[in-house]
Amino acid sequence: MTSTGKILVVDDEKLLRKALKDKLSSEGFDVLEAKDGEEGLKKALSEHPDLILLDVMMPKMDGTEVVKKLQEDKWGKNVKIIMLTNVSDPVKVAEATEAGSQNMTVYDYMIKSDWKLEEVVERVRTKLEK
Amino acid sequence: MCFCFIFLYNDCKMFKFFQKREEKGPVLTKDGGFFVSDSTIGVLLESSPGIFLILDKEGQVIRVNSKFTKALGYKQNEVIKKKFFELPILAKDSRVQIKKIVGQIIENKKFDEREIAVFSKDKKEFHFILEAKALHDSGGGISGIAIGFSPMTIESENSLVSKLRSMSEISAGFVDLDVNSDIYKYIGESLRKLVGDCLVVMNVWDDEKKVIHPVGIYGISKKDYSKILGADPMKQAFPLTDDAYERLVNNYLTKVEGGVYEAGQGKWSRVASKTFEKIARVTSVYSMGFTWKGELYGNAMVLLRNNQKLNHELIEAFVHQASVSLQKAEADKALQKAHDELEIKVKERTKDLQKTASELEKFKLAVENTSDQVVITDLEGNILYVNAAATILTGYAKDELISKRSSLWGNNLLDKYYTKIFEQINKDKKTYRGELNNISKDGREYISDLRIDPVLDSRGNVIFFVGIERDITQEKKVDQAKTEFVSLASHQLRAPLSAINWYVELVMDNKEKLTTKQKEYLTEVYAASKRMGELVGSLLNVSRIELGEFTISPEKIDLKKISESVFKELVAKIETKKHNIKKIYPKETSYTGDEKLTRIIFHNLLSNSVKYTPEKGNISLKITKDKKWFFIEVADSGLGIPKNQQKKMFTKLFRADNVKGEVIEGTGLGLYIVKSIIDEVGGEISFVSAQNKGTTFRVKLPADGMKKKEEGKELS
Repeated sequence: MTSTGKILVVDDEKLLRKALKDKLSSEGFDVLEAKDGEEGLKKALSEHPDLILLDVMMPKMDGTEVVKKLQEDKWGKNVKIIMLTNVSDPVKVAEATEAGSQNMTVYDYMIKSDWKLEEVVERVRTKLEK
Repeated sequence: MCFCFIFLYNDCKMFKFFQKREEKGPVLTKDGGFFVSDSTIGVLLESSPGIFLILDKEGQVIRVNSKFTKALGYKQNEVIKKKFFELPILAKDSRVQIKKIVGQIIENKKFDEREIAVFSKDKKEFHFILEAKALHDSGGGISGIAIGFSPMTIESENSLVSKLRSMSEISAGFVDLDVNSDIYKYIGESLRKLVGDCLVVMNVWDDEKKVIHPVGIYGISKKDYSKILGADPMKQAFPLTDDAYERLVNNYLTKVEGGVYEAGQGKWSRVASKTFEKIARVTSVYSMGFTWKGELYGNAMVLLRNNQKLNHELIEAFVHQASVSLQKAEADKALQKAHDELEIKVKERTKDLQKTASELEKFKLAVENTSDQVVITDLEGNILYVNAAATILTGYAKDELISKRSSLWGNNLLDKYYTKIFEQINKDKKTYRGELNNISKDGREYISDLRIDPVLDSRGNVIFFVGIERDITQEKKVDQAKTEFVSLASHQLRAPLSAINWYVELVMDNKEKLTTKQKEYLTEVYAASKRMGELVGSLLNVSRIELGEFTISPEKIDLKKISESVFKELVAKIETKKHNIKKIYPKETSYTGDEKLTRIIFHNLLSNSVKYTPEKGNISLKITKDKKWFFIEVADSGLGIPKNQQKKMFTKLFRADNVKGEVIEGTGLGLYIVKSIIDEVGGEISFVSAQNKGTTFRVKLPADGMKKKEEGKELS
């Protein structure tokens, strides 16, 4: 099954970023990478991906901050985002979903270690279909 | 003024004088009168120290001695040839009586001496004993009357002066008596000194028992006195008749008639009186009461010997003096008693105070030396007291702190903020708690845990505040380090685990290129990584539990749904081990609980059963419900827990000996977490277990839902 769509993977962990990129690419997605929040925001605004896989805890600008910034953009406030995290930090997630809940129908967040890559891809597909 | 006149028979000096004369001429008549010539009488009259008059048988004054003119101020010719009973020296109302007396003597009748008031020419009144005797001529007929005035006692001028001197000494002695002196002894002995040859019995009046009892006997040994009374006088108590009491209270001096009280017989007895006369030569008894403003203190019985007479005026004066002294002594005694009682009270109170003081001192030392900063302020927050720790913490000396406010070391807080705190505590009368950023005098920033308690009086009014501060900078740092560790553990440890998982997955995506062994090994890597992930998760949970910082967010959940999803997670293992699963749910499984915590409970209990139950074993889950509780029962036919280790079941990192080698999975944290959660949400957990037979866990969750707890982090 091949999929189409432009996915932006924002994660400071190179290993995880690479695993996500390889998996998504092998599934047929067009994958963009960013190594921190600042770069992620810049790439999102310039490339307008269909979906962003956004790590929460990152240097320079964290995921929550990126979501807030995106809200200020005309395109950005409608972009689909799946938050990825290593820890169930409800405060952080609440902040992120709060920031995006104004206009966006669905925000998702996933705890990386709890999910198989396969499941992440599945989630991305579902999200894009909506 | 004092005249002594001697005109009495028996002891009378004049009689003796006449008696001597009698040998040469004058003859004493049988009834005590005497024959005497004019010239002889003249000599006698002048040599006598008293007032002396000679009347003829008609009662006219024919002679007076010079004492008469000197003492009463009349010249001889003013009285000579006047009728005696018409003389102005006599009160008018006594003249008839005197006339009668003169008549009686002329008729040779007996006459008893009597008291008489006599007036001098300048109208001064004197009291004398009047004595009168018939004078006989040589033929034996009555030729005239001798009249004498004598003072009321038979004392010489010298002895009286000496007695007055004694009296003044005694009076002075009264002044020297103190409260511990035996004042009755002093009075008794003083009386003996004044009266001369007599016995004195001092009695005390007992106003409660209405009796009088002796306290001292003077002038006779107690032994002799006992012989007379027929009993120990000191052990006697004599009731007083109302009459006797009245006499004692109202009159100072009374002649006791009818004898003395005979103690042995319990009555006044003439027999005893006779005994007195015989043994102690007592001839008359006087009783005098000591009184003050109608209050009777006691009395003195004066027993005179050998027909001795009492100087009434002198004794009355003495008794009066003694009464005053007794009154003073009684008052002093009462005062002393009050003083003693007061002193005892003062001593007791002092002891109490010393005790209190020493206890206060202990408190003071404890407060002063405790390592927490203690500050006492008034209602406006002005500092009244600081302990030693406060000076160390704030860096200010005590005198720099007293009467200042705590904003002195409060770093970024305005004085207004403190005012608000104090107002709030004052109003609500409740403890204030908070953490403050402070700065010491030398600029050191520190965080303190502050607690301000209002101190109330018995009526509930705030009287001052006690602020206790502790430097928690270090603890905060440790806390921070812990939080950072948790973050590190979760983020940094989990990231590589996720990487391992995901890369294993990527490799496995190309299964066809792998050998069977490679696939098998990769599966083990994946399982181990998963376990590691779980362990990290459990450690995180434990650290949050121990920091007391996990949240409980109750919401509508379905217990059946949660347990089913847990079974789903475990299904692979259950199928592998061919466990026989039995599930019983009540009709209603909706519950108000925290989903994650509930899942942790189910997951731990069920995965434990799966882990520790051998192949083909039984596992059952039963959920039941009553009004108060939801009951969750998880039973298995597994390895069980050895009896001697069951106590440690819920302790952290505990793993039973019988499973340590057998089952490698297991962290020893699961049940500790479960127990901590259940305790926190208001539930209970218990179990029964037998080795190699199985274990049953019973969990009770409050039917009305878990308690909400907002602060902290969710467990994962």
